[in-house]
Amino acid sequence: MKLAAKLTIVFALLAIVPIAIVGYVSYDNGKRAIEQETINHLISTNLLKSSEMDRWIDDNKRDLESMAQRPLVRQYTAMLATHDTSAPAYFEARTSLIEEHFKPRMEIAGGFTELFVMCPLHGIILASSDEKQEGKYRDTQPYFIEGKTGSYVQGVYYSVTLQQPAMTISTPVKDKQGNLIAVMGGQLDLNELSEIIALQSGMSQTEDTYLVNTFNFFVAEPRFGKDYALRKAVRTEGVEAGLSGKDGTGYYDDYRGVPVVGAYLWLPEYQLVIITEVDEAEAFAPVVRLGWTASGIGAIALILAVLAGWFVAVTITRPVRRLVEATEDVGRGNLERKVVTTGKDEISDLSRSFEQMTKNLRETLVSRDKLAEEVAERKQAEENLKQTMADLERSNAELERFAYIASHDLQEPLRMVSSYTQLLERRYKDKLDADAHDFIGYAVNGAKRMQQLINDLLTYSRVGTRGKPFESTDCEAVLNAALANLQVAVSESGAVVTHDLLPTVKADEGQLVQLFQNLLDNAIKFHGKEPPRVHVSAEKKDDEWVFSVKDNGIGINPQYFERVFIIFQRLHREEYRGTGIGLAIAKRIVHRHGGRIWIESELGKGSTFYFALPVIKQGKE
Amino acid sequence: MKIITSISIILIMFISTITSCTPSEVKPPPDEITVQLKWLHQVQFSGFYMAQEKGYYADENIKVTFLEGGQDIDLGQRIISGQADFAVLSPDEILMKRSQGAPLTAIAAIYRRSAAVFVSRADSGIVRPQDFLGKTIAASGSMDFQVKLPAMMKKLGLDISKVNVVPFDTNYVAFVDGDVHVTGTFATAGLIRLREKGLKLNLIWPSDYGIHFYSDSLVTTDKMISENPELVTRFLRASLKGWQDAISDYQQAVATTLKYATGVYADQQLETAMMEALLPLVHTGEDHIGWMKPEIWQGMYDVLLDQGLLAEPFDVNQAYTLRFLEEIYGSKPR
Repeated sequence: MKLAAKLTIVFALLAIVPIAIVGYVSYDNGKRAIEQETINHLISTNLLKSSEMDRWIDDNKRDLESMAQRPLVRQYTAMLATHDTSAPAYFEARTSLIEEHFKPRMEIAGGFTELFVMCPLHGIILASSDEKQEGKYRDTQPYFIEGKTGSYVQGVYYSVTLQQPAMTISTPVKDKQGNLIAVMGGQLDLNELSEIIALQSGMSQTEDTYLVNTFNFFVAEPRFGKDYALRKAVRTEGVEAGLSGKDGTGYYDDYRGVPVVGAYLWLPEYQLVIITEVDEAEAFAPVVRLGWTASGIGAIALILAVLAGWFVAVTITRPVRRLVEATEDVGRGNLERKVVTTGKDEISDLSRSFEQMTKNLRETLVSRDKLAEEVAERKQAEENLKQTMADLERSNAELERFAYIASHDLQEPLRMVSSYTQLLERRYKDKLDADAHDFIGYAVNGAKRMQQLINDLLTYSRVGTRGKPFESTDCEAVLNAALANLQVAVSESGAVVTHDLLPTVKADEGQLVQLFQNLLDNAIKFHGKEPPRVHVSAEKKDDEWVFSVKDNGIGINPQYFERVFIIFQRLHREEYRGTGIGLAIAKRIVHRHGGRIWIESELGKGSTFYFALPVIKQGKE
Repeated sequence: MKIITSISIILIMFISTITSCTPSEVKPPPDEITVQLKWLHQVQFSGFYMAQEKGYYADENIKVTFLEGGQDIDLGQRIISGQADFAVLSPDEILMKRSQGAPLTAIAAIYRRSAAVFVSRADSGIVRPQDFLGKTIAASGSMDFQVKLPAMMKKLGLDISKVNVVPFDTNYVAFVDGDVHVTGTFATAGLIRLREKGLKLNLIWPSDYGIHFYSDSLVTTDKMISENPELVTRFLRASLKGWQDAISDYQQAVATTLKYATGVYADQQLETAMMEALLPLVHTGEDHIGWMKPEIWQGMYDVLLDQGLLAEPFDVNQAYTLRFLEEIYGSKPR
């Protein structure tokens, strides 16, 4: 993942945790507050409504009581109780009571749908604002029975007579002496009660207050029902809890099956439960709004955090990216690439370090280039050397071939010259004078010498062209072979040849015999007045065998050490025989064996010829 | 996992073994009882149907069969003969049979207000029994009106002989035509039909004039009470529970009733109207459903005795018992 994305996510996470916690806590607090407020409101509504109901009932009760105590009412009531219904006095009293007391009270103050008085004996209605009710027996009604002794409120019951729910207040009517004259009753207007209970205090769309009796029946009409009073039962959690005598609140489904928050209050005086409910959906709409607000703020904060994270990420990653690009550029070989840095942060430090590194790299590369140049030069030189060597070898080979061919081809005409000159001497020996014989002798001698030179040259060239493969060669045997070939010279000169133990070396045996023979021949040949004494020895030094052939001969002036190895170069033409080929061949043989040859000598004090041959490498054949 | 499975299997087997050995878990075959209804299937008996359909009888391990009533059926005889174990009867019938020596005892009053009411046209000026004098009243031939009318008149000190009593006609033809001034009717039935015809009516309730009668009451035999009181309690408890439900949700009660009702009663609109009318008569707003008061029984007895409808005087308290109501509700009326 890119650094920018990582940083953005980290910022988002850092932001989201506190936002979520703060958001949840404030949402929860708000929710609790709103819930508590809702519940408090419902409870206070219940208390308010029940006290309004109390007051409404009390007001009406007091009105009824005061009416029952009016002197005129007592008087009329007494007349009704003591006279027959057909008596004129009865009729008069009844009319006065109804027209002067009952109807004005009902018309002015409301509250009652019917006011009436009952005879104390059978509860017969003597006079009533509702004429149809007169003459009816109320003897079994609690309001009559209780009303004889004191004011009584009969809670909501179903009146068969009225064919509707009813609530009745009664109070005794007594004369001045306190004797019971009659019982006065009033049917309360339950619509008024319903209105009081249902009257909405707020703007709520669903708040609903109603009364339920101990049979689970609605008493006051609920907001969402019509003619429910004493017709429809309600068995919600709130109602059941209220009917069990508890006061409290709860969350449950109301009579419509809608989830509500409800408060219930048991009114023992009336054996009723007052319930105030509000739809959860409405009550908690502010909670939902609060939730949305909290979520919204959280979302905005999150976006800001992401933006901030992104910004910081970009601020950090831009120089990094620049550095990366520079690195890639440098990697492709562009050492001139610069990284612009002005900041003082770590990334800038890194940039500067990178800059320094690039600089160092440039310098290093300059020295490396020089080195490469040198190497190239050396290679060129080596190449040249190789070329030269090859040329040299070729010319050498050509030379050898030339020498061989020349010497070989020269033999034939020379033999012709020599043989015909000798034939001339033999056939015309008698006819030629002495001078002619001398001349012929010179010619024959010259031809012989020429032949000798050619033979030597052929031998010399053969060292390079007719060599055999190198094999293990016992130098003792080689020395003996060489001495055998020199037997005549040794015996003539009386030479004494001694030697140390000689090793076995890898060599061309024939050539090695030739080498020893040449060196020994020289050692014997160039002796002084004393008979020659020659000693051959070998010594191992490092990885080569150094052979030495030491004599007691005439010695060699060191200035001629090189010259003696050159072909046909002779130091002593007159005193000693030879063509001057021996040491040239020796040198050539040693070289062919990868060795070297040199001299240690002093004029008149003998010479020592050394040659070194590589030691046989064991197991490397 | 395997161990848990095997342990639970063993446990289940073990539990089922011990429970199957416990006598209380083995349900005895249900008690089969027959209930004689007062009339054809209709909402008047909806509480019993509710108890049946909601399984309240089954919960009490009772298998109930309902017998419909009818025009020529002697309901009292059905239970006396043992054809039915319980019956829904009017209290006057209970009292009359009892006076004849039939061992019947009421155990609850389903309708604690009588639906029987006298009606006159609203413009007739007849608003109270006093206005009945000199008028034609359809009341005879029906125990409900035949008993209550003279009782009411007598209570008010009115002379019944000044009233022209004619036979009660369930079709109210003469009343609608105007030939009959007052007719008895039932708030749960005839009254609805009369109002449907657009008639404006005055209602004169016997209970407003000191005549308090229960209507449909649940009755059984003395033998059942003495031999199987526990079954009586179970049956009554389930029935009252059914009635409670019927009142709580009368629309469901109507729907349930329609599973039983046939003929004219298989009419949802009619049944709903009847149900709405009978609701207050059952719950009344006072006391527990089914509750009975001795003074009401005494009053009914007095009326019947006064009218010479009882063969022999007897102790009215033998005709009913609060024992089962008190067992179910406790001794308090509400």
